[in-house]
Amino acid sequence: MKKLFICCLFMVVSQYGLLTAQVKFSGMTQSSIYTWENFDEAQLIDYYQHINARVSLESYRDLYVKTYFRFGRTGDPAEWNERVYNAYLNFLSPCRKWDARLGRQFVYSGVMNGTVDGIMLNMRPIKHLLVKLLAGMEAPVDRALELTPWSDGNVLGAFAGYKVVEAFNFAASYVQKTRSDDIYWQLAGASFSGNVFNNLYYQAQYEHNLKTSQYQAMRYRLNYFLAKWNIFAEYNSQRPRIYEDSFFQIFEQTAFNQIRSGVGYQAGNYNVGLHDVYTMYEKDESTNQIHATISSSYGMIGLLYQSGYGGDNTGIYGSVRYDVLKNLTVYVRSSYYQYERQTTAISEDATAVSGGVTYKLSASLQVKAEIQERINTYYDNDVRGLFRIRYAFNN
Amino acid sequence: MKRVFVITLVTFICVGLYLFAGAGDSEKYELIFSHQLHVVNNEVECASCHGTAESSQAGTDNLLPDMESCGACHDVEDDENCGMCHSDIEEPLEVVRIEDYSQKFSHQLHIKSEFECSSCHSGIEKKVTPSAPVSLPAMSDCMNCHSGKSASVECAACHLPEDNLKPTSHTINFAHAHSDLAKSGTDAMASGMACADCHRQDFCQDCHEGENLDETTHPLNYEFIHALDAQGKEKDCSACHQDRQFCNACHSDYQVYPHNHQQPGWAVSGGGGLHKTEAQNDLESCISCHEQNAEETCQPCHQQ
Repeated sequence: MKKLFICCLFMVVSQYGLLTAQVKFSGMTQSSIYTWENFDEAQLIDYYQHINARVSLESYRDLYVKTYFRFGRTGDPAEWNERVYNAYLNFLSPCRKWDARLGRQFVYSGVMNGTVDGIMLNMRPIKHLLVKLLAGMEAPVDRALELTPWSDGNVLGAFAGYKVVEAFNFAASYVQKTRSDDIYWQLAGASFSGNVFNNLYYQAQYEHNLKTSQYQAMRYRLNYFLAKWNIFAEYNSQRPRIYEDSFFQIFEQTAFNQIRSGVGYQAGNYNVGLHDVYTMYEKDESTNQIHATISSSYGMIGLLYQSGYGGDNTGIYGSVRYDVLKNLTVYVRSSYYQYERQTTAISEDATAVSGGVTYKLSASLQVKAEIQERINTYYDNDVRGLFRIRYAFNN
Repeated sequence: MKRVFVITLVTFICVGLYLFAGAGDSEKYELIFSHQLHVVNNEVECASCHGTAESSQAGTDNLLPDMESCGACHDVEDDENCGMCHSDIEEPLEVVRIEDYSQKFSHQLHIKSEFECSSCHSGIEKKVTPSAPVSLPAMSDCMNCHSGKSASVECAACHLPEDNLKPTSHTINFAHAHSDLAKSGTDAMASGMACADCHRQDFCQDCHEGENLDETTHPLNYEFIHALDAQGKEKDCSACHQDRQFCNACHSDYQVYPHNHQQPGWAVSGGGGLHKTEAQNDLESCISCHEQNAEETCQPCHQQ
């Protein structure tokens, strides 16, 4: 499989001149060098090569191949490895009533979520109705270029979403994951959402675990947008996700309940936000986190305060970016956190600063250099470096 | 818990029924004006009232007609006729002007390219009131042409460098809320924008599956403070970190062990001790390390 993929890639690249006459070839390549120190203070250098490509016929663009992957020499000790994020063939029907995608793809529809090696059909039989059908194998967790055998992990799923009116959308979905002929993960979900009065957006989402006959997660959310203001509130409840063969399956799976609320205001080019996350646990414990930010296109500053069962944390962070020249941007990011994990009664702090420059040599070629430094309980001075070249072609 | 769920569900059903009853379009302006009456019934050209559109080169230009323009057909000097256009003749209000549309947008350029008004302002001819929503095109409408084929897809084609491009939907909670929005299939939230208007799917994967070399997904030092996000449930770690060895790889290699395990009464036979409460509150934190060695550490007391 891996050899086949590399051969195909080589053929495409070597025949580039010939192919470009009839083929539309677009995408991006990105080379990154990342230097860091291990615990023994030995300097290590990681190399990453990302490639993003889309290939279609000039005369027939409804059929295209798309891939996004990277290979690199990383780790300690450094080893060559690859991650294939997506690699698929996509076909759009002439009237756009349906399309099909075959290969590795990132799926996010209702309770179907994750990277799958398989086929996805998207159908629009009537206006405002979207139906999706999915069948495939779970992609390897490390996104290696290999296929999981069907019996070791397959996924079947379906999604239907219907926009009744602007103010009312409904979606239902189902997913099951099977291993060794046993369904080990089975969820059904429903969601309602819509835009009311052009200002109020509501969303209700419910996920039911058919294996445990309990709800897995539910979220109810309201966002209110009025001129330069936005206000939101959310109730969120979720149970832990436990592997099907885990010993921990014997325990009762209790949910945490959470209320999130906040307000934002756009003052000219500045966004101001205040956010509160209050989490309640089974045994009368709770955590509260307050988060405040001011941001603009030139940077941002944020304050964080957390207390309770989840631990205590006080932090400040920010970033500044400035266009020195039309093509040259400098930026600096920094953060400081003083934190105490639950039950330790030991206060620790962590400081970080990073800065860099990006230079656009042309509309398609960009170079970036960045220095990162961390100071914390374990490192007095951990300096890292990133150098990156990004080239976009035929975009 | 069940009661909270039922109350919330009933609330949503009531809101839905209210909307179905057509009560949603209640925001009204003081002005009485029907595009349908003018454009459809009397075949008035758009340019008759919005004559300055043809030469307008900035989205901030005021292209709404003033009362003088209405005077071309209506006798605006006749005090007896005020009520024809104003619902409150004692205190008539000016229609809200559009001042914050994209500075770089040129009506002139689009009209010269032979676009009809209805290409971007579809449906406005059927409006019988000047009530919200104002019929400005959403960015997804622009993207129908600005796809890189017939018109540029670059941000700078329509936006100035100093423009604040962050959509209003991207609130401070958006990092948490965006997945539900993306997964709901409804795409648009505020301003009629869809995720794909600005982001390609690779953008999702860079965060969800990428290397985080430039610290965009998690900030520097996150390995030291992540425990507070994990136990505080601010982030859902398992949304991305699905490898069951993921937590243990660092915790075991670097011997990062929880301090609370040394507390007196952490694990006692009979009632269980302190660890029982911890597990009931946050079983995921136990799993993050003991998934690998539950047979040795948990099973001797917890018989399956």
